[in-house]
Amino acid sequence: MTPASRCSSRNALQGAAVLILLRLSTFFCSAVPYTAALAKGMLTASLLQAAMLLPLLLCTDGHNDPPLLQKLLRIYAVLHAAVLTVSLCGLHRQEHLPRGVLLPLLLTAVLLYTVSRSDSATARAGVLLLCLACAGFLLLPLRWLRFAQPPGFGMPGSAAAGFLMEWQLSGELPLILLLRERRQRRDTLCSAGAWAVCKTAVLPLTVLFGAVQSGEMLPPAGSPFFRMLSREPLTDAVRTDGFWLMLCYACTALVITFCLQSAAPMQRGTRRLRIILPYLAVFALFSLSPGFLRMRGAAVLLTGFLLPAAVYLYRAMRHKKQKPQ
Amino acid sequence: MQSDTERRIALKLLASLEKNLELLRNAAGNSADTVISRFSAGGVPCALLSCEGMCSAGQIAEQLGKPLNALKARFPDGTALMQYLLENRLLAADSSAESDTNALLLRMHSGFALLLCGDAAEALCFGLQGYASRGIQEPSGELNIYGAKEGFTEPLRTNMSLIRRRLRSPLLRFELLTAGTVSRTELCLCSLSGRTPEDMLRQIRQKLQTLPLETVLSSGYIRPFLEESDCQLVHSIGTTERPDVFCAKLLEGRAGILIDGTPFALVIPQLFCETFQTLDDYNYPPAYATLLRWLKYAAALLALLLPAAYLAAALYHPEYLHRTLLRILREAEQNAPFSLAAEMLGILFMFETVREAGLRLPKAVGGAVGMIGGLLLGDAAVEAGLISTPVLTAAALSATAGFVIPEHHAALTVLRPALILAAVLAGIPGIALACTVLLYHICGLEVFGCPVSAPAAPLLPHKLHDVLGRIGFRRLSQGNFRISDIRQQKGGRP
Repeated sequence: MTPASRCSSRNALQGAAVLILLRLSTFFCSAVPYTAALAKGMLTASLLQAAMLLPLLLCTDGHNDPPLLQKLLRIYAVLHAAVLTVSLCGLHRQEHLPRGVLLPLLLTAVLLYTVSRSDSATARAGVLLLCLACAGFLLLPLRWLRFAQPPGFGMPGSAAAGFLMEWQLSGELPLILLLRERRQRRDTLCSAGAWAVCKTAVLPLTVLFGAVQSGEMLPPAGSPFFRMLSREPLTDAVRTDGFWLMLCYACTALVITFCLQSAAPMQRGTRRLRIILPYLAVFALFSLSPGFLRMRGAAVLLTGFLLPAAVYLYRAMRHKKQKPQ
Repeated sequence: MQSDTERRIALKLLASLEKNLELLRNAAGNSADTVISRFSAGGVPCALLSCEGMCSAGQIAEQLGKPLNALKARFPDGTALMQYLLENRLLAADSSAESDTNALLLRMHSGFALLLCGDAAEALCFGLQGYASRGIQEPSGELNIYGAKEGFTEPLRTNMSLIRRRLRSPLLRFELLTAGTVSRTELCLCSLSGRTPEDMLRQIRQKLQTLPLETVLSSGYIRPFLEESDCQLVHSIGTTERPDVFCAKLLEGRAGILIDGTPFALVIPQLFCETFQTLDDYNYPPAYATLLRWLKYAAALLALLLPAAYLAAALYHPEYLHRTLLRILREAEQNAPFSLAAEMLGILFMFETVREAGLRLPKAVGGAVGMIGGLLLGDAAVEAGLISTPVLTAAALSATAGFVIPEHHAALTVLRPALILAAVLAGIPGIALACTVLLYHICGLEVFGCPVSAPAAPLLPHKLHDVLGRIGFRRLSQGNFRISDIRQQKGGRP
C-alpha cells in the first residue's frame, strides 16, 4: 500500500465514522416505537437516499460550489447541531435522567472545549466511537437470541411513517456535501458507501430485532432503543444500557461538534466564531423551543431533500455543459 | 542566548603564559575549584589547569605527568612544544587545541585538563574526566523480570555507551548539543539514520537549540518545550530509564534525547497505546502477554471510571445495580455522616496524601507510612462510621488499578475528581460528556506530526496487532513498526 492510498483510506474511514455517528445519534434519540413496518419504511427510504446520493457524488465535483450554496450548507450545519441538542435534551427527559436543567450547561461547556480543538481530533475521536458502536452492535444479536419474542412481529405500524421518519432524521445528507468539499471524491464515495450500508442494513435490522424482542411489552414512551436494552432479569437490574447511554451522549456531543466545526472551518479569525457558535446553537434555538419543535420536521425535511436535489441538478447541468469541451 | 558574564569571558588567549593564566583565572571568577599546577617540560614553562573533582588525579599523573616529565628533547618555545605533543604523542584519546577562553572554560568544567605551554596562544585540552558518579544499576521505576538489569545513570557518556553496546550499527547517530544558558548542560540527540524522519530531527534540534532555560536539571525541564502544550494530561513524549527500551524505540524510527546528569532519557514521540506496553510483554508467550495487556486496559478504565460510576449509580441510577448490592449499599450508607461525593473525594485525598508522604520519606520509613496510613486510617475511619465500606472499597480498587499503569498516575489523579464532579452533576450523562472531553484531548494531541492516539485513531488496522494483543515474533518481525508510517502526511488531513 502506498502512502497516498493509505492516507486516502484513513480519510475515508474518518468520514464514514462521522456520517454513521451522525445517523446513530438521531437513531438513539428517536422516540418512534419499533415495529416491522417501521423497519421496512426505513429500509425503503435508505435505499432511495443511497440511490440518489450515488450519482450526485459520482458525476460532480464539490470543490467549486457557488458561495451561496456553501453558506446555506454551513447554516444548515448549525441548524442540525441545534436539532441534535434539542433531541438529546428530549432523550434526557424521556429517560428520566437526572438534572435535565444542567445538561445544556454541561453540553455547552463540553462544546466550548471540543469545538476549539482541531478537526482531526473530531475525525479521530469519531473513529474510536464508531469502533465502540460496532463492538456493541456485534454483541447485540446475542441478547436478541435470548429474549426474542416472535409475536412482536405482529405489532401494528406504518411503513410510510418509517419512510418519513428516515427522511426527517437524515440530517447527514447535506453534511455529506459539506464533507465532499474537504475530501477527495474517492474518499467521500467510500465514506458514503459505509454510511449507506449502516443505514440500509444495521439500523433497519436493529429496529426489526427490537420489535421481535420486545413486541407489545415495549412501553409507548421513551426511546425504544434504550427500552429494548433495559430489561436484564439475569442480573436482577432494572436497566443495563449504561454503555449505550454513554455512547449516545458521546456520539451526540461529537456530531454537534462536527456540525459546528463544519459551519466555521478552522481558518484565521474563525476561532472566536467557533467558540461563539455553541452558544448560538444551544441558547438561541432553545429559546425558540416550542415553535421550533413543530417547525423542525418541516425544516429538516426541506433542507434534507430539496437542498441535495438542487445541488444535484446544478452540478449535473454544469457537468453537461463542460463535457463537450 | 549568552548572559553578560559569558559575553565578557569570550576572549582569545595571548602569547604569554602568565597573562593567559590570569585571563583564565579571571574568566573562572577565581573559583576555588580551579587547580593550577606549574612545571617545566622540554625546557618550556607550562601550566596545567583542571577543575577539582572533575578530572581523575591518577589519570593526570599517569597520562600527562609521566610522558611530559620524560621528555628529553628541548623546544625553543611553547608553540613548538605544543606542535610536538599534538603530532607525536597520544596523551589522551580526546585531545584538541583551543584558543577561546569561553570554550576552554567549558571544557575545563566538563572534566578536561588544559595545558598551557609558554608563549603559545592556544591551550591543549585533554579529556581526562574522572568525576565520581553512581554506577550502572537496575532502574528504579521500570522493573522487569526477564530483561536486562542495567539502567541509565547520570553521566551522559556512560549512557551513550550503554546504547552503543546494544546497537553496534553505523546507522546509530549521536549529536551533542548544549542547553541552559548558565548550566550549559550537554544533551545528546540520538537517532537511527534512514529511520528517524529527517524533518522531525530538524525540528527537535531547532527547539533544543532555542530553549529559553538557564539550566536543565532533569528531563522534565525540556519535555514541555517539545510538546504542543503545557496543559497536556497525557504526555506525547515519553521517558525511560532502560537502555534496551530506548534502543527499541530508536529502531522504530523515533528520536531520543539523553541529558547529562539525569538517568531519564526522552523518547520522541510516545504513542498513547505504548504506555500500556512493557519490555516483559515481549518475553512472555503471546497469549499471556495479550491477556496482561487487556488486563491493563481494564485496570485503566477501572482506575478512571470506578469512583465516578459508583457515585452515579448510587446517587442517580440505582436501577443499574443488582438488588442485593443495592441493599448492601443502602445499609452501609445509612449511618455515614457525609455525602457520598464528600466521602469519595475525602478518601481519594487521603490516599494521595499517604502516597505522597511515603514517597518523599526514606525508603525504610516510606513503606511503613504507606502501610500504616492505608490500613489504620481506612480501618479506623470505617470503624468510627465516618466512611462506608463500599466507598472505601471502590476508592481502594480504583487506586490499586491505577498502579498497573504508573505512567498515567498524574493524569488519573487529576481526572478522578473531575469525573466524580461530572457524575455528581449529571450522573452517567455527565460521565459520558467528561469522557468525550478526555477523548478529544487525547485524539487532538500531536507531536512533530505524529498523532498520539495512533494507530487506533486514525485507525491503521495493519498496525494494531501490537495494540489489541501481542503477536508472535515471527509475525512481528515481518511488518516492523516505523513511526514514519503513522506520521501525518502533508495535505492528507484526516
